[in-house]
Amino acid sequence: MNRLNSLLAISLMVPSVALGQVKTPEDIEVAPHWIYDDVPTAFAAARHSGKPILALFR
Amino acid sequence: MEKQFVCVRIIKANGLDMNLFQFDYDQTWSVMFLNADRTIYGRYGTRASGRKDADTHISVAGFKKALRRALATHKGYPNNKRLLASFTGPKADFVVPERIPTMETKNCIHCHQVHDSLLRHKWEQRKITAADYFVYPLPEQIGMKMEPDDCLQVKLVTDGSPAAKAGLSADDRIVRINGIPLLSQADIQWLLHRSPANTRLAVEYQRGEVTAEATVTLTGDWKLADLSWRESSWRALRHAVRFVPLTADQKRQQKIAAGAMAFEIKNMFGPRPEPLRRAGVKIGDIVVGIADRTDLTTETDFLVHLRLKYGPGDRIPLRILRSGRKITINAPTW
Repeated sequence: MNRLNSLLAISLMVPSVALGQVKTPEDIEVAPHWIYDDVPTAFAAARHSGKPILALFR
Repeated sequence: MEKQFVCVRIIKANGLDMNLFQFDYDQTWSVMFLNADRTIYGRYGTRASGRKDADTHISVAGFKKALRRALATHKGYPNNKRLLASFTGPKADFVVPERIPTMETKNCIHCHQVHDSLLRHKWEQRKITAADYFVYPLPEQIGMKMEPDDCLQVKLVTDGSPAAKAGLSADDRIVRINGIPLLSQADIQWLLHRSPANTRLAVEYQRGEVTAEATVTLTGDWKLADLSWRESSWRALRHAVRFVPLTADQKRQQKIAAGAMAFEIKNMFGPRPEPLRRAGVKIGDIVVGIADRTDLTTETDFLVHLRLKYGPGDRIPLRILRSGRKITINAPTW
């Protein structure tokens, strides 16, 4: 399960931030770039920034 | 690299736009790449077995390659928009999972519950087909095992398979299918999922420095696969009854032929199997046939046959071995 766990590591930081439990600088670096359970906000951000959307279902 | 994307994590399927977000709902980890105008660039995430081996078709290296390809697709947009239209699915029967009549969960809907509720609804409506059960075929079902660290490089081609007959071989990198640019093997699965059983695929591939095209001809039952790992199978097929195939030793002890059908009823969970209990079916019974069918030796074959042939209100002639005696119970479906 190592590969799956590595992939999950990216996403697992997000709920930590959402719950106000940021613990490492890496969390702080990654978390602000993630939107949590809010698809309309993701589309609005993509329209504004011109970036593509990465939608992770987990 | 994720900073080049707008990243959104969706942990519950409540309110999920089912016209847009169509993917293999039985996965534990799945990604879709999109443009802000709802054009789908592709998908990542492939699963082929139970929890112990859930990660055999994914890797960090492969995911990174899919990310790079998604960025390249974005760079080529909108010139490639027409080609990408095939990644959008048909109009969904229900706009959000909460509208599925058989959806039991209200608070935190898991992705697999979307799939099992859709299947259960179709079964209850007597509209279920084999195509509803056998979804998102793996590339290996047409003879191509893919390298997880690349997603699109062929690791192995099965002798005699449609891929082999088309001339594809190990190390080829699949670039496009029917002109559609691919990000990962999840995109191959999507295109196979959307293809009819009898079809021809134009597969563009790279072999060394050369780009070429092969025609893969598909026919017959290539979409059939083991469904037992799918979380949705608990509700859509088993419906809370656990059937376990007998081992060779157990068959010998029960005097059942080695190749014959035999499933022990290990558990009946909760109220769902109550019609079976009332009909006299018991835990420990060994199912050795359904009517005249005694050739259904895998759990998937057995349960799919049962669900396709018997609908709500029907009686199933279950041939059962109990304490060495053969009996038949006309059990209601459950």
